Amino acid sequence: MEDNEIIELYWKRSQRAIVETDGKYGGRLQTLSMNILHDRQDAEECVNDTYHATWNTLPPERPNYFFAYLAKLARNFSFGKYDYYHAQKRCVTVVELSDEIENCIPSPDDLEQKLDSREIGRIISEFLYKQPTEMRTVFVRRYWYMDSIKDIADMFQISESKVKSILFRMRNKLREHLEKEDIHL
Amino acid sequence: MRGKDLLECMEHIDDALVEEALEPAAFPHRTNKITKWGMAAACVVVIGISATAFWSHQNVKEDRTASPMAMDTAGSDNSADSLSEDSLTAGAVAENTQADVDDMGGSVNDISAPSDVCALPTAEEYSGAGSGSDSGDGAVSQDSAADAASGTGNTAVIDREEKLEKETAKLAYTVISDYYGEKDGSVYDYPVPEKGKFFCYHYLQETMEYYDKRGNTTESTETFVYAYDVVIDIYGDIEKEGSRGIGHSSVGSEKIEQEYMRLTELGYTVRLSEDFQLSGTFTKEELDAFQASPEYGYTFRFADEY
Repeated sequence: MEDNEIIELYWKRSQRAIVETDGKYGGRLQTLSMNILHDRQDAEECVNDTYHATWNTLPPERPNYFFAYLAKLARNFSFGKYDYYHAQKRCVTVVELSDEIENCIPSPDDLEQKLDSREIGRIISEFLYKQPTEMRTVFVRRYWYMDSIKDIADMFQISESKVKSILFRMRNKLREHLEKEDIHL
Repeated sequence: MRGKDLLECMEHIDDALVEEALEPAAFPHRTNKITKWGMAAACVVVIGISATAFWSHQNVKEDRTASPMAMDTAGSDNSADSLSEDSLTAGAVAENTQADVDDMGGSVNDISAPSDVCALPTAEEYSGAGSGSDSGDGAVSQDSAADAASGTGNTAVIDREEKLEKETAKLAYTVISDYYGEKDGSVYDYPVPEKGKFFCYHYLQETMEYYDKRGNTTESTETFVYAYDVVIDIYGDIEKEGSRGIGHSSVGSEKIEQEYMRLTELGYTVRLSEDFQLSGTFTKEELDAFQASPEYGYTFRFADEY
């Protein structure tokens, strides 16, 4: 079923909307959540929370990119659950990715967040649109979908070292872009 | 801001970017066929050039090793092989032979100190070319053309081949530039030659006779031709009384230059030095049948013979 038809089901308040959503995107949402939480049960809870939030927000929302809309919700729930469960003992994957992407921050010692997260997201999007499709896709797979290096290498049929190389260059470019924009995070 | 905060900010990137990465296509493996074939073609070209260079280098080496043998046997087989019957010209043969000689000059001197080998068209050939046309066709090509025109079948072809071999062989000379033996220290007094007459000095004459006899008695020298590097002294009205030539005044220099031009046009291999001393390379036959000008008398001698 097409995304528009599923959205239409939500708008008609049909229970079938959630079944269709789960059938089409359930697996991917589960994977995304699993990448953050590394716990199947927690991931399932996050996905269910996502369906619930979608049911509550459609209508009035009518997203142009339905999966992105779902995935953002799932990601948000996953990070919330992560923070809740791992306040003391942090997940290895999140630590690893946090350390990696911290290199993009021009002034790591400046702890003051001068821009809200939406504005930062817009700036990062602007940067990504300037990059080659393959490069930005790898970047998004790594830092949005939280995929492992190996999974990305398999997905794009390239070597892991090449993935690492691409990410390294992209991080440096992002830092330069943020510096150029005179943005202090 | 920490890395984790930035990671969470990624949540707000454009939905289109998220959708785009949802089902990513595999990286295009750039197996550019044009590049691949281009590199292959470049390799072939490089190999071809290398092979050609190596082959030509080998040929030069073979020529160098073969040339001294050509001198010993007095035959110029390489030159003969390289000659095309239809396209043969005296000039072309001379150039080929000259190139061979240039390559082997040193080794020839080792074998026979006073002799050298060079390619010289005979005076008859030059005469033929001069009287015929300026196209450079020599006696050989004329003979070939004549034979071809006669159309006498296989015999004519064989005759033509034999003639061709002989003509080709004649183009390889062994140049003698000094007396063949040890000089006895005798001093000879030569008269001033009369106008229209010429003679050779003693050592030159003896050397020519020596090599002429040797050429007649040695089987292998049947087609072997000697040439002699000689100095030509010219005697005329100017400084008639002197024992030296005429080239010691401005008028004499002009006359010598004119005579040099005349001899060159006749096909003789002559040279004119800056001090207006004529010299040249002649075969015995050329010297015997030297076409003297009626205005001058001539003497021929080796450079160190007085």
